[in-house]
Amino acid sequence: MITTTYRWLGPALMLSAFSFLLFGVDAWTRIPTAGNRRLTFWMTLVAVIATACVIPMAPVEGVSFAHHMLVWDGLSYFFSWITVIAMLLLVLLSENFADFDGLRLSTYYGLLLMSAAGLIFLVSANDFIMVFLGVELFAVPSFILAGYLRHHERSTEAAVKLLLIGAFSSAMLIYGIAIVYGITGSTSLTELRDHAYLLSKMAPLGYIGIFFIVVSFGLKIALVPFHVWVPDVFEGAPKPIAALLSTAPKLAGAAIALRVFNLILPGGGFNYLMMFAVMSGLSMTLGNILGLKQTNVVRLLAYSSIAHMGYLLMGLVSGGTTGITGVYIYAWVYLFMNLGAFAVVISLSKALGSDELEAYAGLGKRSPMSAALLSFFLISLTGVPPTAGFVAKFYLFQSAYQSGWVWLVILAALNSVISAAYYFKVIHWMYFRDPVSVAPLPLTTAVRLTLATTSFFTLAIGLAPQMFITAAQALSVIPRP
Amino acid sequence: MHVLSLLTWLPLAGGLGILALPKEQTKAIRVIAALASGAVFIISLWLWAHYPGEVPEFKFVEKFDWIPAFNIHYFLAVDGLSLPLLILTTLLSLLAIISSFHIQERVKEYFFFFLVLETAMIGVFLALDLFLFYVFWELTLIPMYFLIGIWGGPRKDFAAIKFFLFTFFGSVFMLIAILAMYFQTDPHTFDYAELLARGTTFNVRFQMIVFIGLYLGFSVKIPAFPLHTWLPLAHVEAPTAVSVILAGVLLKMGLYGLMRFSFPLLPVAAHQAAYAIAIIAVINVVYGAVCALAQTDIKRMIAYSSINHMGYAMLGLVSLQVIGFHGAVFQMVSHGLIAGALFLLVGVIYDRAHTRDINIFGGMSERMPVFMGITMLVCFASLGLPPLAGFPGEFLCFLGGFQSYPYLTAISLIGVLITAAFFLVLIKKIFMGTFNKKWEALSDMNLRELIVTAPLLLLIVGIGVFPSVVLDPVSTTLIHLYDLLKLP
Repeated sequence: MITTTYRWLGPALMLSAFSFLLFGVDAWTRIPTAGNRRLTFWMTLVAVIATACVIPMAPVEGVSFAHHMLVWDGLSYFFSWITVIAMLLLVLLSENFADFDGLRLSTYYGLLLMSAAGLIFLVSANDFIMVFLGVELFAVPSFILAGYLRHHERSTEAAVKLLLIGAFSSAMLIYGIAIVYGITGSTSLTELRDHAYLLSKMAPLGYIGIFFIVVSFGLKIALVPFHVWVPDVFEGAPKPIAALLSTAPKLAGAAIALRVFNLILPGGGFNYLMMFAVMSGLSMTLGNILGLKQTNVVRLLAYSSIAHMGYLLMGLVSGGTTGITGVYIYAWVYLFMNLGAFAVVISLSKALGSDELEAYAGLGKRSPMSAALLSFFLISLTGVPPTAGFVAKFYLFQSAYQSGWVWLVILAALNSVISAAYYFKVIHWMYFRDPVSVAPLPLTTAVRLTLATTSFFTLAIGLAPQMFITAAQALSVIPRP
Repeated sequence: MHVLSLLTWLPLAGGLGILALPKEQTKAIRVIAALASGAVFIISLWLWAHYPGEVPEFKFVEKFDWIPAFNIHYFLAVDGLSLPLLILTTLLSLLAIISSFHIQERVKEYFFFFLVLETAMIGVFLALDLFLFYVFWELTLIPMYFLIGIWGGPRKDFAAIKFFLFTFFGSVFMLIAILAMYFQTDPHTFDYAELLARGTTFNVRFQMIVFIGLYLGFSVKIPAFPLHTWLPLAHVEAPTAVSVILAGVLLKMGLYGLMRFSFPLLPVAAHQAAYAIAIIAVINVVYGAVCALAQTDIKRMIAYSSINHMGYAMLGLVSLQVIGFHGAVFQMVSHGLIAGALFLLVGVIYDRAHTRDINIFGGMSERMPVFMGITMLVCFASLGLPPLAGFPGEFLCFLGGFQSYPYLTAISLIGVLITAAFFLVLIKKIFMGTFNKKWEALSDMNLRELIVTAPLLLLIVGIGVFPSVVLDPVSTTLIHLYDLLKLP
């Protein structure tokens, strides 16, 4: 039914519509007055909230639409919510971001909404072409967004790096899709499930096709050894965009990887788990070890995001119901912890003047609330009880252990210890050093709201995770037999 | 009435109350902190008075569903093993808080972290669900990190992070071992009582691996050689009151974990690993004592002597004899009291002289007679002189140890000798000899310091003369533990 299709397309359409509306606002305004800024901000906020309202509930097994090229199931629902909440918090953070003073933000918000639409397409894709569409629809706006501060050299550098990597990974993706299409005769993921045996039958070509797709995912999610672009891009891009890149595309990418590699390919007897386990182990370890040497807080968070994707991949490797639920839980918790940490960094960036650790000296005395919250988020990122980060890691540990990946669990546990060393370096600078100046560090309402939301979830899920776990289990899409 | 939950969460409530106060009101902050920990202490005394010691089962049980998805419960209970340690915790926390009244810098955060630490420590001794135990165990790390790192001595940054990383490293192996036990039982459970009912049927290899995992976590805290290197640094750099808590309570958590979880749940592995752990205990004893003899910083000396004393307790524990268990528990309690008192006394002299080098003092008996008397008493208690508290503990440990490992116990007696040596050297260098004119202006102990040291002194003498006060309530539980460990 056409009307039902529009119902499932609701969020993506809503976001795109508002995005074009914002481009229109951009075309009609020239001078960035306070009025324009306020208009665009509220329009975007309305857009995100409206999208949240139209996200449809779906049966967990899913409803496929658009000629079976898209599907709306528990996975799409959950990750669409993650995207929308990420957007909401990012809009709040972008509005008072000091580097954006005096700039028109209508294009910025328009592109942000467009990329969100791309992510929603990505997580509801049931066909490789749709996967490619979603990836590109997110990627192209993100290139522009990364270079939004076009008078800053680092921002342009970040944009070019992101563009090159994005182009490269899209090329790999489309090449892999082409090979898979050539072998199985269809790009649809449902048909792939039935024809996946052809991939192993046509070895090594089938494996090469899958290899290209995995490389492309690795580049997008920034797994080792495809992670090299992350620190430079995060450091150069405007910080809200760094926050976006560290959460939304990685989580959506993990979601689609879940769909393809956990739900579809196992039917074809294609065993790639060891490959993902090795990538997971490498990401965790290298991400943490490289993070130890960082002196710039944004680069530190960049490496931490690489490591966390390693942990997240453990859920994919474990497979089964618990593994998939583990990915959901970790994605949700990671979104809040990471955005919370970035929120503090963003709110302080102008006032502190730089992102180096030295600038954070004595933050415990200058702004006790910011320092306490940042410490709390960093402790949660380490995975110490009673925070949500611990619950999420524990869920992944138990699912990986249950599936027999004991070495991965031990590696992840050791990596938590290594990561503590650099997360606590930030806490060290905030609390154990004396401040260099006593200028006040105000927090705006928008940032306070963001911090309140993120810290609430980080604590609540840490202390009383049962409700959330039940919800995630209910939405977990079970691999079809 | 949920006494145990009240005990556990009251300090945290006090801490949150302190957070609500403006930071200028230091007097109110101190009062609230003292009231919170005082109330907890009185409740724990009530608990002791009402504890029926005749049966070894758990009392005052509180068990609620917490995370049904994992079959995790909020399970608190007390028995003969946790009771003395609980009272030690509440007493030392109260005394440490009172002795911290002279802290002027960032008072609010200090007492907040202290009270959170107290909640976590009490939770460790009361929790019987392994997940809950792990949560409380890890919860002790964060406040300690901040307490050492903000209010500590010159090398506090390194001490704090080393403490955190070492303990965290051990704890993650503990977590994996707990997960292993969780998956081995059917239906999966973290509950100690259910694991006990089912657990002794684990096969030997599994028991050994899980035992090693748990041991790694506990051995960092004991602290057992070779994972002990965080201790001297942390003790020296921590502020006085934090050192008291560290030596008095946190070190007991490791041995408590071994007695509560490792031994009953994994008896075969316990028997197999006992000899290796006994060797480590002897190394702790002798190496710790020898290192202490070499120190010139008083606090470092006492830190190494803590390693030495915990070695005795370890030896008593792995003797796997009833009398050894009694010795271990008594040694834990007495060492808590004695080390607590020692650190408070070191704090007295450090506050006045701002140095802890034993070579530059001398003849302090002229200026500070009361201080000298108390210090000498506590030092003699520490080296195991009857009828003070140190003696019954060490003696019972040696009795147990001798039954199982006569030669190892004989070697560890050298530790007693060396301990006596360094404490006498300490007393000589500080108090005897000619008076160093530099310290003309030093005053003797003031009222606050006497108030916090007096209860410890009374107990040190009291339980030394009447050890049954500590051992009687504990006895049935320890005999039950011995029965659990008997191999079929």
